[in-house]
Amino acid sequence: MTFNWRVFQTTFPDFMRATGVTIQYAVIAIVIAVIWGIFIGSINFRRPKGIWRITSAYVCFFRETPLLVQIYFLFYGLSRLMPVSASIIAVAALVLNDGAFIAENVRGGLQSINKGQEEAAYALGFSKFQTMIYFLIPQAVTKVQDSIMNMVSIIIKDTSLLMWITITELTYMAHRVNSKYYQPVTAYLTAAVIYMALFLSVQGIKKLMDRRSQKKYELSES
Amino acid sequence: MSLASHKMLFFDTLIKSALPVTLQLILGSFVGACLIGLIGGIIRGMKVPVLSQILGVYVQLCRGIPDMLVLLFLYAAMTKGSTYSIAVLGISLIQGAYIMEIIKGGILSVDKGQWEAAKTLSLPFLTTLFRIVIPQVMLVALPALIGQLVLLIKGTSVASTIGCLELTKRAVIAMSGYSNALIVYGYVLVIFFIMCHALTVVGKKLEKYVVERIMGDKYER
Repeated sequence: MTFNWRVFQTTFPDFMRATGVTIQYAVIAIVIAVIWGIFIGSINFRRPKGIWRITSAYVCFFRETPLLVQIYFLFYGLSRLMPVSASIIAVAALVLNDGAFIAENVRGGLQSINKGQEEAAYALGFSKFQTMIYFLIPQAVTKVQDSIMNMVSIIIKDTSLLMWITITELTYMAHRVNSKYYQPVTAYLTAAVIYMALFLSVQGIKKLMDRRSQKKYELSES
Repeated sequence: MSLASHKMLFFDTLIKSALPVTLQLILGSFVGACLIGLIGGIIRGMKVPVLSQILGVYVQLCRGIPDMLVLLFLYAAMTKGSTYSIAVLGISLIQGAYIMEIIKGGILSVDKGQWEAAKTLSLPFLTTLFRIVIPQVMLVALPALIGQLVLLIKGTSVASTIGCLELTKRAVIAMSGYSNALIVYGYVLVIFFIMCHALTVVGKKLEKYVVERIMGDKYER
């Protein structure tokens, strides 16, 4: 039950490789989830007939069911219907789950924007679509960038569930090192430190973004 | 699948034998998390010197490390205890940190005048804390606590991976008998959705009530 340096040294390259996999999945999932979240969020904000009911039901359902079951559902369910690789399922599950949370945030951001912005854009002759793209979405995203950055750290945490569908990411590596050497403290402490490093760097980026947007705000005020 | 096997899967396997375990898991870890959160939250809200910094680090750790890793570590490191108690321990440790933040925010949001008024009435410290401050904190924190409870319910599915026989694990076992994942996991999703959605609806109602209560006449519909 102590930290074993020998095991740490022999398994460190494996851990680094696994960290690479975790970062890779997290980054891909974040990029797609933000786009997907903005898309669904603006549909839920605009409420076009018909589609709106489907997208809001989707957001409601995916926000209120556990990610692990969703992953199992997609992985074992979809692989019966068509041949898809585990990595695609992994990204799809993360995007569907966390995209729903981002969509709800973005919708809230869009609703909090002053109605005058939209009307001013219409008065200047912009179409509905252009108003969304050029005026409303940028403002909404800057408003909710804090919660989006929180979602980023949650997505990094969520990638740990991908170990159950054969993806060799960080938690899986810790699990494997532990079952090979039986050194729980060494294996899991290493993984925990790496996760903390990722989390703290995301927090750092969040703070930098905060400072930048504050500066922008001050400039526009003066 | 025939109707009889649907019935057997849904009612006998999932509802009758798995749901009670999940409910126990939820109850146990929520009580544990609330205990940790209340004690830690009071310490952090009161800004007790060294302890509140240590708890601050603990909260950061719980926010950064996935529950999966914590549960696997506890499962590997603990030589005693059933999978149920390990799961309760792990989940309440992690969720306790979040509840701690909620309680801390609530205590900091209570007006300073309340403390001063209690002091002029020469109420002892603990009476002030438990009879005056905490009731106000609870009113403010209740909607957030319910939101956290929803996250906790979703978190219990992770306990299946260390072998705790709750909904998800029963579904994994049932997979070998039924083999149709869309149906088996679909049922699990539906059960979780019903539990969480009911709580979310209650939470939204409560939030409205709390806002009305705090804002009083200033609240506009």
